[in-house]
Amino acid sequence: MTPPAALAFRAVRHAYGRTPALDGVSLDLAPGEIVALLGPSGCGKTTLLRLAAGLERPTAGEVAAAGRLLAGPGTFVEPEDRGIGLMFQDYALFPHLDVAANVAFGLTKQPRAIAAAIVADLLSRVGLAGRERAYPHMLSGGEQQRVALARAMAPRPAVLLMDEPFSNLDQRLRRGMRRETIGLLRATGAAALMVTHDPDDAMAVADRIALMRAGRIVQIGTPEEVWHRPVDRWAAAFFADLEELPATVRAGRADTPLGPFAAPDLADGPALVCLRRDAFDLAAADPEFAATVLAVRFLGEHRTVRLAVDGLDRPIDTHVDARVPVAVGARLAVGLDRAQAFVFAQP
Amino acid sequence: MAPRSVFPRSFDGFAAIGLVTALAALAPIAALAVVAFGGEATTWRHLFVSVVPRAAVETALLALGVVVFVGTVGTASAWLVATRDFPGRRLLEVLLLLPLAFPAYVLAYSWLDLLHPIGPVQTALRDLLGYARPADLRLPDLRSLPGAVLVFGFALYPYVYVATRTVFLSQTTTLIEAARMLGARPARVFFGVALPLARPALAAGCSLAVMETLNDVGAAEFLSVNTLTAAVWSTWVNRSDLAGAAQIALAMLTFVVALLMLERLARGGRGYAVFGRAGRPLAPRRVAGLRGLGLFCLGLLPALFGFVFPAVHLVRQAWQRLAFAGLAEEIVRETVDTVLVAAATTLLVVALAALLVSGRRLRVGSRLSAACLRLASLGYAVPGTVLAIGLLVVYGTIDAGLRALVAGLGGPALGLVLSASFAGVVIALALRFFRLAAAKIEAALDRVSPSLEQSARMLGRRPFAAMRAVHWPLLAPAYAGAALLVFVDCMKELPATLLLRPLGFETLSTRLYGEAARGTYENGALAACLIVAFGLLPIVLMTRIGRRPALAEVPPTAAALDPVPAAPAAEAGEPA
Repeated sequence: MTPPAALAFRAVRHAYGRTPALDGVSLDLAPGEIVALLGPSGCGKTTLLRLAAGLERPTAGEVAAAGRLLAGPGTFVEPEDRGIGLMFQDYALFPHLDVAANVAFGLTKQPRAIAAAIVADLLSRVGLAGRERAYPHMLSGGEQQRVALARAMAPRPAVLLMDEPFSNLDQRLRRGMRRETIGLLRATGAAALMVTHDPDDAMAVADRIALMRAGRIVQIGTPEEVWHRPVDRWAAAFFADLEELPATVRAGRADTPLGPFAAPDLADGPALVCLRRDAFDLAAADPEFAATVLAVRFLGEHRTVRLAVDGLDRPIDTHVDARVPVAVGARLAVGLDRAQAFVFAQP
Repeated sequence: MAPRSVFPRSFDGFAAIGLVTALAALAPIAALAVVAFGGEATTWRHLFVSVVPRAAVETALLALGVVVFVGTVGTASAWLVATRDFPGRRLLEVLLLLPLAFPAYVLAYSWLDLLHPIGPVQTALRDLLGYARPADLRLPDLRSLPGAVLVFGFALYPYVYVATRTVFLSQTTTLIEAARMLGARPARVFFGVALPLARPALAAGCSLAVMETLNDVGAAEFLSVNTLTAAVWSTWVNRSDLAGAAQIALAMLTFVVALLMLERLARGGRGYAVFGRAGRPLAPRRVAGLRGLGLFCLGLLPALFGFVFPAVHLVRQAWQRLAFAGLAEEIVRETVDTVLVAAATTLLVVALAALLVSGRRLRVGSRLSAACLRLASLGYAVPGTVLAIGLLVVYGTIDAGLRALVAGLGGPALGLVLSASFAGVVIALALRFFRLAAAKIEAALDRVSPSLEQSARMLGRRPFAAMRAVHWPLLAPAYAGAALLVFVDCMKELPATLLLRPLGFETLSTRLYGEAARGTYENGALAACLIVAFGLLPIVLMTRIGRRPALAEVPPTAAALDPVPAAPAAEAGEPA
């Protein structure tokens, strides 16, 4: 028998007044698993997090943790009794308490000496040893984030909830914090549910990504699955910009000015072929179509190239290897990486 | 959405205390209605034919005059110190606040004494003009409707001054600068941009001034203006007609509700002064030399009539009295009694307000907590006399009930428990000033992120423990500020204390009232001085806060001005 889910949502619904926020969401977190709730603002991901925390009550459905019902018809466990950790987007450090007191805040049941040892251990793990007596306003954003993480982890919760944990950090700090956060979660074996609107955060941290839209989970899977097999055009576009080509499906094949694309599962009729910007290869051994270079922009890691494709009335933008030089006005033979192309039925 | 049951999931200690407080606030109003409709129809007819219409007209005229006066003087003085820089501007900013220390009845008391036929002003005038007898020189009597408008106006214009100055100083800066860059002259900047933006603040300040006018019982009586409050008062005190008093009191409540609706109308239903960011203060235009001196003198006038002249007179009278008779023992006892009443009320009010305000935040989505907070705030909109008449009924009922209970159990004959008791006065003042403390604490709590107490809950604290660990330390300054405001208002309070106090119990304000009623003004001067001195406390604190860059921070009393100070019930339907 598999162990019960560390955190489980079963057909959860929620509404603020008359505005629906969640429309029947089911999701299971295995013990030790890190799941990202990814979606645009207003999709209900933060509401789902707050339902798990007990800061909101579901209007229908159930929330359970490790086999224990937390919220459901006739049952509601108060947040302080759930044994779940939560890291707020604004960190919510107590401004009147120093770092050590903040981290020790949830350790009321342990004897003082043990609590102090836990605090010292956690602070050294997040690289804040020696900052015990500092107050939150004296810390940088990254340091505050580390204190918030240490504080949430101090009572050893089986589940940690994180609300946009990296959104207040700059790019460089963000990479370091993602690594540290995963490290601490793995070391304690806690499962984690992270809310984010940033696909990079989700891909870098999560074992599985739950993509949400308008109060529902539209797709759930490993980062590779959601990247390579998006369920619809919207899911594909959420991770990276797309070039879209109208096409017509006939006998499992979508024909476009760039050539045919396999569409085995689609019925005959209008369809949309979506290509990621880096699906194009300007130095391909087996080119598929010809194009003229309209504009070039060097961006360090890659080069954006705007192409006029023969037979297509609208230019397309591509991201190509920055080491390959491209001149405006050049005629090119362009290859395609078909793993980065998706065909969806036209709604 | 599934209906969320109020009981029992969200019911806890917070809700219980909230419920008790809300019921206590509702009880006097309900009691008024019961007694009023239980009265005889003949009294109804008599009252509403011969008493109420005249009193209502006088009250309306007085209120109108006060609105025009405080609106003009308050806005003009605020605009002057906010947009013009002249020698003495900083001093004037503070001086203009000082009349806040004068309750209207003390100001009326002081001016009546100053302008008495054998008082200092008229005596000096006669000497100057060479008249021998008071009858030879007749000045218009202060004891008239225009006189009352002036006295109330000078006492109450600071409400408008404080509210509109905040808007002019910080919230309209970029808009005023934009208007000037578009070529608008000062007059157009004021009437076209600043005044419309300050309209909600102006409406709030004016309505607060009118509420104070309606609440007053001393000044109107001293100045012989027959207001509704005075009618309630005399119906009960002189004729012992409780039902009649309750009937007029109900009519007065209608007046208050109409006023609050008028205020919402005047605010235009828009909170558009709110969007302005309190950021960089406006750079005032420099006015130097004689013109600057002229502006200073012009701005000084309200402060002179509202504070300096009457205060100097009171201090001189008090000094003469002390030199002549020494420090009377009773004034010491009265001061101690006043402080005791005020301190007990302050403790009760701040504790209740802290619990109800925090409870509402800790119980997210609990309509019970929100409703209790709103209802408990009702007392601030009810004039003190009306509240006191209602409480007379409530206390009497409770005492009768207790007497019957004790007698039924074979106990001894029970005297008065709440009626005419210290506790009765404290409860009345607590209901009256709850809103003052709650508004101040709520404003401070709004600046504390809810994620803080939610963090505490996630880390294992129960709601009350979360309040203690997070709200108490963070809100301590707000609790202190609220305590000071309530304390000072209790020290000044007259009508409810006068009606509900135990026999022979005197506070500074009731002593002053008694001396004025007897016409022995000089005996009350020391009490008046003490009341004003206590009233200066929050102003001193306010200006100390304001010392920091250009008074950008909202002064404490503005907590009572924003948002709609006395319309909790009307606002209950809106999202928080």
